[in-house]
Amino acid sequence: MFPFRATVNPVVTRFHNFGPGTLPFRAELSLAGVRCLLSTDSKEILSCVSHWFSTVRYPYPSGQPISMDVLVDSSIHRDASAKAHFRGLRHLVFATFGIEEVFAFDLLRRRVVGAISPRTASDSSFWNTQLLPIMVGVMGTTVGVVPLHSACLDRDGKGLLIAGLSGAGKSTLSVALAQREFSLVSDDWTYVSKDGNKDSLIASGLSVPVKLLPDAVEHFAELKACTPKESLNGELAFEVDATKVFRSQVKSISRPHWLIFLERDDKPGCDFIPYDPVDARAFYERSAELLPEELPEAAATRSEIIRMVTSGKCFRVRSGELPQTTAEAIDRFCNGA
Amino acid sequence: MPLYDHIPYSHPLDVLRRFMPSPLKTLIKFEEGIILVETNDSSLLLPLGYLDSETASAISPAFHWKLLRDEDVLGKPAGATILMAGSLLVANMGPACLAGMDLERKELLAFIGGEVDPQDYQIRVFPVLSGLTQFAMGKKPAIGIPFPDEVAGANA
Repeated sequence: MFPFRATVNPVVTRFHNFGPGTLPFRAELSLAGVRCLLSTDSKEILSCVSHWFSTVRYPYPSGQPISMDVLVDSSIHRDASAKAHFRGLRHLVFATFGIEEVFAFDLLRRRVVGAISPRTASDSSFWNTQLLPIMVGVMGTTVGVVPLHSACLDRDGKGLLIAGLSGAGKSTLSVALAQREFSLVSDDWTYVSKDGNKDSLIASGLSVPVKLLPDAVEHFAELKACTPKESLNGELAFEVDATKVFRSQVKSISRPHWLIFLERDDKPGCDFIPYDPVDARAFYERSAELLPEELPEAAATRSEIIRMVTSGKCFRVRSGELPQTTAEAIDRFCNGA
Repeated sequence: MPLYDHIPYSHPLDVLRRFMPSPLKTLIKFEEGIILVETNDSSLLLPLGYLDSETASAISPAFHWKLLRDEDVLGKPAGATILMAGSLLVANMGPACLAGMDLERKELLAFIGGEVDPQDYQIRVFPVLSGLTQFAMGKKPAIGIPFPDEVAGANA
């Protein structure tokens, strides 16, 4: 049984009904604590996302799953040059990739539907570095997985969260730390959820490439062999696999233990200044995406996770040093803390 | 109704533009129903028939449309791809027009790009918005959205 499709008139060129039984291939994915029940009519999609099959991934799945129904239509054309476009109203979020490829996210019903071209269906990079991270970012809060704009590194099971304004150098510092005794969980977005009913947290990454701005080549000679390209948000950046380029250790999860707020300073030195948890919490709340009134539980969950993340010891790290020197200072600090 | 001057909108924490202001509100008659339309651009109301204030005050709307003019989006609307998934109908005409109809909540939410002129709107976009609403009202849409019975038959 296949989805009903019709070419009907010049105003409506395609109609797809995602009725029961229309998408025969299914898999359960586990992404940073988000359970995703994927249904599709494309074996190629399953092959692209097999890395996330729940039997081989995350050991702390959340309760409520998200359903994702994706249909491949050979009449849909891929526009590889087009930038992703996102809009949202109330509980709905739309993502278009070019003119014809679209995904809609229903945050109230925890459902994602999409129609794409065969080329996109078989593009592993699209699934693993774009669509699935977008899905977790958009839908995660509705199932208790909160995206925090922070890097995360792990040492011996203890997580170091690094927050800071855009441009503070989180990714660069993350790579420098990952060249020491730390494992890289995430250089940009970390997904935090409660560990079941326990009063503890799990921080997860999505194994996406590390994104570094072109000037990072001044600090990492390894990047000289790489070429920056335009990233999803239009920035020119290196997007590299940290395990291959920097030979870093990568982990998918950690438990938040240290929290630092990175600030650039013109003066040399690297200072650790205790940060009031109230201020730390306010920082995260102030920098969080506005949520619609249709999602009060998601907003409450996010606030609770932020409260828990910031309830321990927090520090501001003001550094006027190179990333490697700052990483060395943080390494020493974590040894003593 | 006075025309509304577009005010550029940007908010660093609202990249999806969920909270773009839509200060214009009016009730319109559509088929046999009444719709509350909320928008930031009165030109999006032009194809619609307004209710006189006496009638409007006596009726509660059966549907809610939120139509946002998205000035930063360039390009013309393409032919619509309609996705029907449970209570949700999505119409994608490219970034120039994205619409979602929530059948349970009786809500139509749409972004319409800055280069969609009145002719595009009347000929290409408005028929799609109307068709989604007709479908939600249980009527056979005037455009090519199969009625529920036809969809069931096609899938059988």
